[in-house]
Amino acid sequence: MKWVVITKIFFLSILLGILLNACIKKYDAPPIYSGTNLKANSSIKSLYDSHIIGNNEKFVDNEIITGIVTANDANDNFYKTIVLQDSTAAISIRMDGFGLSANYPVGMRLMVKLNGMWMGEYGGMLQLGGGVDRSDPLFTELVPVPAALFSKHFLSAGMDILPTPLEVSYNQLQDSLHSRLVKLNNIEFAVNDTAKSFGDAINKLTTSHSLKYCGGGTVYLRTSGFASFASAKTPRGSGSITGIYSEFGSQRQLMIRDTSDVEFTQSRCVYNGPSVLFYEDFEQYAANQLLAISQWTNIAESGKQFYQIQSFQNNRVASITALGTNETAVVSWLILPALQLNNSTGEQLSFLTRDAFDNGAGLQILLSNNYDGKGEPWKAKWSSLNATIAKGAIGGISSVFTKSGNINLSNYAGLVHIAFKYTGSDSGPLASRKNTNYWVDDVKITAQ
Amino acid sequence: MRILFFFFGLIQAAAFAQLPTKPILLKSKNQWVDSNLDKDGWKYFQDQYTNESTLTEGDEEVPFIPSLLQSGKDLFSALTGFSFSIRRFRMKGLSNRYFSQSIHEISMNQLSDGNIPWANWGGLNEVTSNNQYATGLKDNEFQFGALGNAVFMQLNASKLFPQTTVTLNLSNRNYHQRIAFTKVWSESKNGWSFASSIAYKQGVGGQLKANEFKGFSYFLSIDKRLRNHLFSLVLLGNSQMNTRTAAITEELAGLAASKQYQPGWGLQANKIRNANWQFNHQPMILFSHEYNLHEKIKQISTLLLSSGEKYTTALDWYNAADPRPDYYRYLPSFFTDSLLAQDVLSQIQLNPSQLQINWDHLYWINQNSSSDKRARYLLEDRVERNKKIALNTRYRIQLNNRLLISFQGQYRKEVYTYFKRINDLLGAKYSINWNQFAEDNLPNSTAIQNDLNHPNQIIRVGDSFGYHYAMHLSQWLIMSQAVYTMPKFDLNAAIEYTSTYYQREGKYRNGVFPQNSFGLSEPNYFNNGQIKMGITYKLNGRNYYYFRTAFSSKPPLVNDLYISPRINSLKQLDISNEWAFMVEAGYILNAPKLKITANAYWIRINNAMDVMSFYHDGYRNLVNYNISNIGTQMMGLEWSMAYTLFGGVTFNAAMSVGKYVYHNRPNYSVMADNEPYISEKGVLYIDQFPITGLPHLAIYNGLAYRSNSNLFLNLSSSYMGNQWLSFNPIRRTYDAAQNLPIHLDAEQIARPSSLPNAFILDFSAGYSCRIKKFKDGSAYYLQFFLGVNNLLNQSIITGGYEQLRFDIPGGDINKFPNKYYYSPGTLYSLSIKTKL
Repeated sequence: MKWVVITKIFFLSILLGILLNACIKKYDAPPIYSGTNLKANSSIKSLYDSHIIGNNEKFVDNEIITGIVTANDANDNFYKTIVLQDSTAAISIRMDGFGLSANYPVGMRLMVKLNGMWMGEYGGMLQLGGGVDRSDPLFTELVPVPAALFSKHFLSAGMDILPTPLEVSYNQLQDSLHSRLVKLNNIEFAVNDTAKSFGDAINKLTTSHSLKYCGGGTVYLRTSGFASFASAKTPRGSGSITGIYSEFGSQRQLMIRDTSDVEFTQSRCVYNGPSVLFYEDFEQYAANQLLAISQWTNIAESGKQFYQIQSFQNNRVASITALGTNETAVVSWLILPALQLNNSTGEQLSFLTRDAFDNGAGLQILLSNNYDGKGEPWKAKWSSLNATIAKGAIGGISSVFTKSGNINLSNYAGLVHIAFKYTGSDSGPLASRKNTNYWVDDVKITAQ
Repeated sequence: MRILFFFFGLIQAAAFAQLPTKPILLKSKNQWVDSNLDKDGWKYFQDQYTNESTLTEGDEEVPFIPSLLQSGKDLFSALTGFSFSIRRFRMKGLSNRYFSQSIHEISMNQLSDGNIPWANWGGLNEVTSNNQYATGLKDNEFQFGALGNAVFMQLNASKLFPQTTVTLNLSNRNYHQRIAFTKVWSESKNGWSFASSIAYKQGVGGQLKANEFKGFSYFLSIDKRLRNHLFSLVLLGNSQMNTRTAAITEELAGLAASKQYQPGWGLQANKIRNANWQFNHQPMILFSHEYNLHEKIKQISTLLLSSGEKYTTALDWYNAADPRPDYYRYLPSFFTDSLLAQDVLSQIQLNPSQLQINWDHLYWINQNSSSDKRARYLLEDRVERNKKIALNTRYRIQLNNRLLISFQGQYRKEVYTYFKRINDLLGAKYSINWNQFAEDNLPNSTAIQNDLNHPNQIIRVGDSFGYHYAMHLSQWLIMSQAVYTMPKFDLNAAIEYTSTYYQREGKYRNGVFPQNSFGLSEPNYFNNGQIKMGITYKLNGRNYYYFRTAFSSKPPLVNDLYISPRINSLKQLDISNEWAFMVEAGYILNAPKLKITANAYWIRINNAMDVMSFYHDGYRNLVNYNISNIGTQMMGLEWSMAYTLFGGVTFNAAMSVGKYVYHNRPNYSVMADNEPYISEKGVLYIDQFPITGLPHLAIYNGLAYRSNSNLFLNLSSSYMGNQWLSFNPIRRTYDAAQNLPIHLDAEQIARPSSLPNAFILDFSAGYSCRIKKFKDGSAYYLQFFLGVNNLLNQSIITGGYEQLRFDIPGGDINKFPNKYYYSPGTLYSLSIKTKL
């Protein structure tokens, strides 16, 4: 009898336990977020319009913009950045977080409450950020929006239709398209850039590949070494490519979201139109250093003054001046890599110059057929090329670059050298000193 | 005199008086006479709260060993156990493996980590009080014992006190109600005894908003006495599901304006949901047989079978932002720019919900992650399943009334299986069994596969993922012990030999370690021994002096042997047995009005090993610090006193003062989880570092009053000082010192982090009354026990740790500040018990 009672109690208690444990509640899935009711009161284009070049500006009013996310860090090509586009323009937003694609998928309509955020430039591109790093007063920098402030500034308004990429030709690529989702048609990778990895996944470095319009014009495709598709190979064919357009200095660049943005399904372009034989914009070299570029020659004939890389408004240039040398004669040569003219026709040279504190020093552009490349150009015979060189900025820095004009090289043949030769002085009375500062940029040689 | 005895029913001062094997049933008019009853009430009353922090706090901290407060045999433990546990006091500064607990003589200390799985029999306080204790190296008749202490639990129905009780507990701790029903029948004429108990505990909310607790425990014991045999069957288990708490930084406590802030929960559809739970259910069944084969020889055998599961839950995420609101990059202190820090501060202050998990958002992300809803966030179970079998036999030979000899043999086999399991996909449809940390190793390689045998496996709720391996552990031991009693001296000696075997079995072939992750690893065998001796000089019936010494060698714990068993079978290179040497000497006074115990000890432990695994900012990976040749030294004094002042008033005092230090520079090597090579090696500069996690100085004072045999009151204060936080090894390396910015002194980053001293007041009271008396002499009693912890309502730091992150370039120890556990102020518990 006792046995029965015990057994009863025991099994009853187990049953009770099971029942109680069964009461552990299952969680409801929450209702799906339907978006915010916030209304935009400003457009992205108005941000560009209100921005003053070179400034960092804080938003103090209650501006709200809206747009559709066109790119994010989904494949790690964009780093801590999303790109937002409305019907008027597009802009990159720097956000301090990983896995942004989870919060801000491509196609999401996002409301951005700008109050408290900042805008500023990076490489000439306007961006939105969370603050400004002024630790180096000469080079202030936009910092990303802290993750803790995402919910303050960014509100989802649900998923929307992705904007159709704007189809643009080379000549249509301009500043107003910054950060826009664009589609470039009839384009292919330069021969040397086909079947290469998109990015350098081993060393985690960003790689640039040249994209050539069939009709002429180069755009650089930049891909991060962290991108999930970094080790995929660039295709050989031609076709269209979709991506986010940007400029760095004066270089036109494109970044893709993933490899499905590259639709090179046709065979390579049948070539017509000019091709670029040589191009240098100095952007990839560190500023405030002696110019030392492979195959270039930077020689001081007298006065011990060399060409420098300098940066101004995020643009790097080759710079030369006699100022500060106290030398009676400053003669400095900057010689481009040897150029073979026998394999092309209709070659043209162009470059940009800009002067500062002009007091009569000279900058010539010279060409030689017989320079031996051994570092003593004054022993060779040079002929002067007819180019427009900046001048006349007497009391300061010229506001613009001067275009050299297209200099025809088709009269020359064989292996030639092209050089910039600076002549100045920095001694004697102030009035007699000739120490103009010249900047050279975007040196380009094309052929038909 | 009798009153005094009642009072020390709680204290049970006589350190050497053995409990009678069968409680004597006292049926006097006043049930308070029954010290068992008194003890009983106290026992579960204190017991159930002492282990609480172990059971609920995060897994970063090694669980502390509750001392012997279960109405221990020695005065020191009985006085201090309850009060000192708030600061995780461990006797003699010893690590967990030097405290042992056994049930029916089978050791409960797990072969995997040396810990005692208290939760397995938690909640059964009414029936688990039949314990015997051996503190330090004191002799016991069951086993070798342990350097710290040893507890021997008896669950036979015939050895429990016959009773019928219904208990109701009310408390503001992590559970709020407990109801228990216990019935123990007296032995029937034909030798049957039965005992059963069930208890249910639960609690929602309270001082910690997201607290939740549910527990159900059961117990059945049947004895059959047959001539000189006693057959026993015991079945018990505790199924418990409760939320865990995490340590927080001072910054978080400030932001939330509460030291009770917890980051592990948030609102889901406006209901509180906690991400950090733990579950434990490990039923066990014991068959025992006691056999008096000769008037001088007794054979006791027990077979244990046990199988169960425990898990903790946590959020996991893939290619998404860290969902934990206390992640350091989300807090103002992360920003060097004061404007941004201010922005973040005001954002958090205006939106306090940002300090909690945003479940709704996690669901939104999962449902919009891809067209087929691949999970970016999921809730995982970190599961440990185990199966245990153990067999123990002991012969107790009372050769004559002076010499008692025992021989023991024990075999244990434990198989632990560890894996992760999807608990909830949070609105997503599936996940893939990939290792996101290996994604950067080599693009498009197989390194990201958690299991190469099942590449790209689609996983759903209930599926295992991440890692999956088993540990096969077994140990057998033989032990012999002799106790020789002389008129003035007692002598005892014991010797034990163990043989231990460890082997890992990988169930996954890991993509980073395809060659040494799947299948059985090379086994490890360890042979060890322990020996101890003691002598007691009995001056008279009141004054005792003793001296004891022991030498002990133990195998490394398997968790300290394998570097990263989750993903491979690599072991530490420098494998050594841990050995300890201990001497202790003491004095006991056992006078009617005054009781004193004093014990001085010196312990040296060498060649211990450890593996610490944590996310390392420098490596941007989970790394394993393999530490070997750890040496520690503990010396100190334990002293306690109970003095009867007048009437029913007693003054109690106790003190533990010790110096517990590391006495050498251990070796360390570092191996990241996803890189198959040792990336760093050296020594840790921790010579003479204090042993962390417990107070080196603890003082107890109390006044107790007992009136008219049915009321007692006890007010006590405890002071705990000289305590340090468990330390971050990165800060104590040569590299950290060398890479410091020039203006910083290496001493500043290496110095141990100390905890503020704590002073607490505790109060307890008990009252008993008889409701009804039956003709046969039995009666219904109603008993009340009230305990109030921390009367001053302080939010004291109960423990914590230095974060295992370090700002190596900046050398700023405050970049990743210390994390603390805070006590939730005043805690009360009231127990109401009816007893037949």
